[in-house]
Amino acid sequence: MWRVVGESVPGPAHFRAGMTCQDTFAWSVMGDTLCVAVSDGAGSATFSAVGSLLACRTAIEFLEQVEVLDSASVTDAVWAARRAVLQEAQANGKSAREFACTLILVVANARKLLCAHIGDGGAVVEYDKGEIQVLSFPRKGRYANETDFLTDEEAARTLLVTSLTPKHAVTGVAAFSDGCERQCLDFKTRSAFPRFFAPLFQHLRESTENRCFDAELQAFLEAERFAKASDDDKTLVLGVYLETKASNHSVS
Amino acid sequence: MGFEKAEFGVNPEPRCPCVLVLDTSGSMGGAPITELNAGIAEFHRAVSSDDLAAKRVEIAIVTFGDGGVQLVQDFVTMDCFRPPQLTEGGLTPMGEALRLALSKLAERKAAYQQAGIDYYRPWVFLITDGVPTDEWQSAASMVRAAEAGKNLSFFAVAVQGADIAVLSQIAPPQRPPLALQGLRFADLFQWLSRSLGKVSQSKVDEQVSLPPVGWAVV
Repeated sequence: MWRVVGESVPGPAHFRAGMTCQDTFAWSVMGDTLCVAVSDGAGSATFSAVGSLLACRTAIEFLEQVEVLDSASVTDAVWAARRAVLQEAQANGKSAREFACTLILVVANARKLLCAHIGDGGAVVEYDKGEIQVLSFPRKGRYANETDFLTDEEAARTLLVTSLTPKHAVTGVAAFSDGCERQCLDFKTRSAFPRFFAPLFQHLRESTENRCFDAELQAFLEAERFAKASDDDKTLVLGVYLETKASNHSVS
Repeated sequence: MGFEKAEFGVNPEPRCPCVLVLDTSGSMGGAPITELNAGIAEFHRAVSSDDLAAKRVEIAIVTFGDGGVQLVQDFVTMDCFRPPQLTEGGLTPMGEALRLALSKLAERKAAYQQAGIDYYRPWVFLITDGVPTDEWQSAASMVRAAEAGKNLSFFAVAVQGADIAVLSQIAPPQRPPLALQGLRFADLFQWLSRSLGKVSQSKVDEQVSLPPVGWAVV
């Protein structure tokens, strides 16, 4: 079974400006498959929190309905999410830009790893309780303040779909928004930092009781040192695969 | 410990570790323990005022006296440290305290290495006003071997009443024990914060000249 925890916390800059968190995540476990969605609403877009919430929900609900999970279906899930956000904008007489958000979708089980991704943030996989591999790296625009969004007209061009057959047992999966990128990823080597992920996966895996880890993860993300490392909202979703059963569902 | 075990992922700065091995035996009662507590709080304030030092300087506190030998504070960087209120009482098991300090330091170095975190040569800072009441000779030889191997820098500070002869056999010959003038704990900790602050801003392996010691009897 999958044990999953996810949290979104507002960044210090957003907090100071009296803005709420514009990051959203959702996840769902179907049998031995974990689906995770993380979306970062653009700080400059008025309704981006609505956009990110709608994108995550729609994508996960779409994946829960499909018969076969493959590159085509995760791509379709992204387009379903995009349609939902654009329709919401239109229904309210607003431009799509005002609902701008990124989207990272991850599907993982013992047989396949899929990721569909528009914008920054990223996802990693842990093999055999050891090696941490990047599943999807943040795709940045040309400039530091330029991000690709699900709502962009050229979304079809910026969508990055990854499909892998796991080379070892998949023991952990994580997806995160750009507020956590610097701790998660080594941009020089384009790899993930095991010193960040290994203790997190280990703690989640080795806790004997099947309790709720939300408050703990929230405290970790809000701890002064981590919070100050980036002014952005921070979302981190962690899943570890345990050799037993159960099913769960959560939308934030 | 839970998710915060990812501390090296959150703060990958090189670490400048220092273990304070503090005498909290009965004879430290009154002004000395008060001054010692105030000194630690001042140390925290001084190091924290520098953003980089706050992320790099780590201290652990081992006390011997009240409650026997205690790890009052495991290694923590200054931005996460909350100064303790130490209380006095009991005997002076200095030998056991030093052995615990060295073993915690070895553990910490292993953790740095595993996480790929650089670190400066650790400091062990002993402050005592007494005579050891337990077996200290084995601790002395461990300290001297570690010093000789450049595994750490050992400092011994003798508060009035300390057995300088014993401290001289623990401290390395090139860095003999220093006698604190009266109760100048404030100056001592200010010096310590400036010194560690300076070390933590240097390159790992660089030789650093320490500020002059104004708090010791010459």
